[in-house]
Amino acid sequence: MDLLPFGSDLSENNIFSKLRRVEWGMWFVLLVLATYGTILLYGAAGGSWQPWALDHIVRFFLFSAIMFAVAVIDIRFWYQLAYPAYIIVFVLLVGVELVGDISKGAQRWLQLGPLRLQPSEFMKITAVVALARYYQDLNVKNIEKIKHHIIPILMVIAPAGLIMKQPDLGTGITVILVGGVMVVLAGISWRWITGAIVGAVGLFVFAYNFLLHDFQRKRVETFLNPELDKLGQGYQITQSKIAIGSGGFWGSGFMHGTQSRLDFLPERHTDFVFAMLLEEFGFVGGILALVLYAAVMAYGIYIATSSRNIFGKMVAGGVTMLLFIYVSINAAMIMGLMPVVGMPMPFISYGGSVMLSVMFALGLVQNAKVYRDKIINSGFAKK
Amino acid sequence: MSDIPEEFERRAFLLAGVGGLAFTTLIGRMAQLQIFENKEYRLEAASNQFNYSIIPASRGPIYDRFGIPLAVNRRDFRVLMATDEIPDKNQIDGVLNDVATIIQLDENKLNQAKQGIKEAKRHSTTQIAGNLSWEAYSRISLYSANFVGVHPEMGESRNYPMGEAFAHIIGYVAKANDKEIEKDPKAKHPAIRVGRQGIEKTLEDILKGVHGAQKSEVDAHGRVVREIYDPNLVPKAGSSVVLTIDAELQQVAHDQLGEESGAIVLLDVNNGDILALASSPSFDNNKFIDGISAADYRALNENERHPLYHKAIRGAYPSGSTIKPMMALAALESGVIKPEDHINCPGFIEIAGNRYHCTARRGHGNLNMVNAIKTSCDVYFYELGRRMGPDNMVRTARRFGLGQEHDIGLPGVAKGTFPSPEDKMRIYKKKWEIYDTINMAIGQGLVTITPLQLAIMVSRIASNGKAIEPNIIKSIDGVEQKRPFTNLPISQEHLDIVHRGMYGVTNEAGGTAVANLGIEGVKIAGKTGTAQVRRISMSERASGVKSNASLEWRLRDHSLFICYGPYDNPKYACATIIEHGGFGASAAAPRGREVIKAAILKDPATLPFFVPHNKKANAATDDGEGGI
Repeated sequence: MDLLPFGSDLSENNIFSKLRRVEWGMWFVLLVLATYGTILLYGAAGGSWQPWALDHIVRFFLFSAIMFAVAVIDIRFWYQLAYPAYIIVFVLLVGVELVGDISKGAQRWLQLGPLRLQPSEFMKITAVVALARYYQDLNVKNIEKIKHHIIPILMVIAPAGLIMKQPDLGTGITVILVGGVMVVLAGISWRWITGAIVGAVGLFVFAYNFLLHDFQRKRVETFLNPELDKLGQGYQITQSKIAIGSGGFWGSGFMHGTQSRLDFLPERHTDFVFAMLLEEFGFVGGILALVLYAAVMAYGIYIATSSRNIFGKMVAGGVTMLLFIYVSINAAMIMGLMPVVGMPMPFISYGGSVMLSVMFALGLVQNAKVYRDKIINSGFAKK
Repeated sequence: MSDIPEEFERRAFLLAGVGGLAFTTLIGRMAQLQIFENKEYRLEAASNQFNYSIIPASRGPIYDRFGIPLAVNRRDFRVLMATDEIPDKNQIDGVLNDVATIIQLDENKLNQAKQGIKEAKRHSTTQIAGNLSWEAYSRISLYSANFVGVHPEMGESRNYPMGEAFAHIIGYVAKANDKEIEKDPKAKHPAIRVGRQGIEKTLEDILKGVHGAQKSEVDAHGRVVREIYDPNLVPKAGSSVVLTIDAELQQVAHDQLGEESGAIVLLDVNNGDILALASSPSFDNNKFIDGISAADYRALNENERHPLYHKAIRGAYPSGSTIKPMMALAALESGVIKPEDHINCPGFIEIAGNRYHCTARRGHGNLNMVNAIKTSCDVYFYELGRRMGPDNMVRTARRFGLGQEHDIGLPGVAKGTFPSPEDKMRIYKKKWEIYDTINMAIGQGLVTITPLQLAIMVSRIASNGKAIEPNIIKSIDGVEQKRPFTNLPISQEHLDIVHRGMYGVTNEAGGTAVANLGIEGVKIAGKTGTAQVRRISMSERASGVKSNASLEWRLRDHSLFICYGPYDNPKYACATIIEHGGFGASAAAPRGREVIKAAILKDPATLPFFVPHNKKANAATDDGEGGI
């Protein structure tokens, strides 16, 4: 599996030995996905590297470097950074609530001098790392007990609540699902898991009726019946389904997707790029993409299960879940199985910040692989 | 700590399984959309991708027998509005105001356009203005790019160069109604017209051609990406139609009728060609093409002389004495009288206790058949009727086309009435009485005929029994429409008697309509008729029948005249009816004589027909030299 010499443990600390331990197969799958995306974006621009395709592939290599850098930095650094990072991002989220910019009807952006930040994006990662650290530090026998999980649940609910209030339902739900899966992985009892699912459904019904904003409720309604509003909210879903359905088994061919080419498909280079993929490359091309994503996730699960420290396990599990949420929610959305929630398809959709955050997160997964045998001495909490 | 990794592993694989299930669902959905519902989505994609703009087919032209255009298409510059393309409906009025300024549309028409667009259905294109000048069209073409939804268009519009003289024959076209649009959705194009009356109606399917469309690929913003040629969508021009009518003679007949209410029908006795078919008063059918104004329509509809009514084929009148030549034939054929048998006319006849009067109060004395026809003696024909009875009269009347429907290629041809005793029982639920027989013999009572039937009757007499069936359509796309006919089994000897009687009417002393035709060596034969519209009471008859001049117009007698000529070699037959024109010889005879005179002088039967050059070729948009 790896090339570590017998008994070398962490003695070989030079950069090359660390790079050797990086999961190169996983990166290669990512490269294939990014190339797939580049081809699509080249076609979306009518057969031109501008304005998207070149950016996309250059970014991939640029962010690959960042990913490797994240991977080789000592795992203890990330462990140490977990709480401070979480606290900073949480404060930024509160800041957004107080003084954030409003754009497209939602309060998501925070202007700090020349920086324009979207703290909710960071929270997806910092929550994962912070929870990982919490469980690393926990170290108890009876982990099934609820009392051990109250703190992490609050660590998830609090920022998720702030994010949903912005309102950014998609990101908020993502944080909750990722955090929830980590709590499940950590070993909370099945009773509580069942209870949480029942509670979530109940909460949804309650939220739908009393908490959701009008535009969010409208999204749910038009999702349930897009025909109601063919030219308004339902337009995107309807057009996306037409593009996908007309592609058929083999697709209409590269750069021959009429719905994408003639602008009927909205946002064809960002959130709806997978619909264009399905139109032009058909069912076959769609299966290929899903297999590639499944491969990345399989690597994530493999790394999580093979890591010997809780922190690495938890980070790898959480990030894998994050990736799964991106892919499945985006695919479900464009195929009309879910309301439109503004969630890109990683590595295929055009957009720098999302690619950066996903590759940074996968860098942490690689980091768990590189340092999978490292024993982390928890500095706190001996319960 | 030792059991945590194990539990972690178990749960990780479990979650992976849930994830796998989710992916399976996604793949299932992909399969549903892309494989099972592929066909429907492909159709929807195509309806996204393609747009069809209708190209109206060029409507077939209509000519007279010598090629004079009666219904043509004029180049029409117009500007249309597709409201669908305008995102903000509140802008429509503003756009219309701007367009009106550019094409200098007056306030009235602008308001009309606004109204029309307000009432237009969704997804339809509405005309803002038509019949633009070349200058206005150029201006709007230049500026239309600045206005979304405004489309200048060069097309065709129907035009009737002969207007009133042909209004009843040609009819008119109007915008398609909902039912017609349902049948042929292309008919919703604002320039497409559907035949409503006359030839335009009966030959609608032949004249309209096949409307085409321009298929174009459009993007989501409605911009045309490219235009696609589809041979199945090329419009096919309608067929050209040539009528049997001679426009010149039609004009003569129309002019002869003048302001009178009446009709003139002129036939070619040898083949049944309708050379003139005039009804009066008439109307300008051009006014109907773009929708006639309510006021104009009301004026036409409420006119007591019924200008919209095609009297020549729809008007049913008592035939009066014009039926007598045929009655004479009926009597001869049934053998109840010989030509030289004399009947005495003392001025009246008493049958079954009732007294029936002759027009000559003091009587005609002893008359043979020729003289009876010439002087139009009622008593002579009362006696014939009494002798032969209704069945003999009806049988012969049918042979001469009375009480029968004649499909001449126009809508609304009336059948008239010439009932047998059985018919009377069936229709009126009343027994046949002797006075029915007596009245029938002089073309009163239950008898009504149309001017067309009158012309057919005289034509069949003139041609010695050729049972011609007139039809107004000479040829379609140059293909002649043959109308075979049979010969009536009538004795030539009997026909000659009737001819002589009718000759006497117009040429011999004592005839009711003696006049010189004014053509050297050419004579015509004829018969007058005066059809009573009101009942003459016993007291009025005692004190003297009122003269027509003293009566209100609508109570005066109808004036009728039938004739044929030349007498030696009959070629043309003419029937004239002037409603409430009084005595037959005074109103109808001079007019009918002028028409048949014109026919004999021109002799159209000897001149070659017009054959339109075959335009069946796919003349899509016949832009010609005037293209832009």
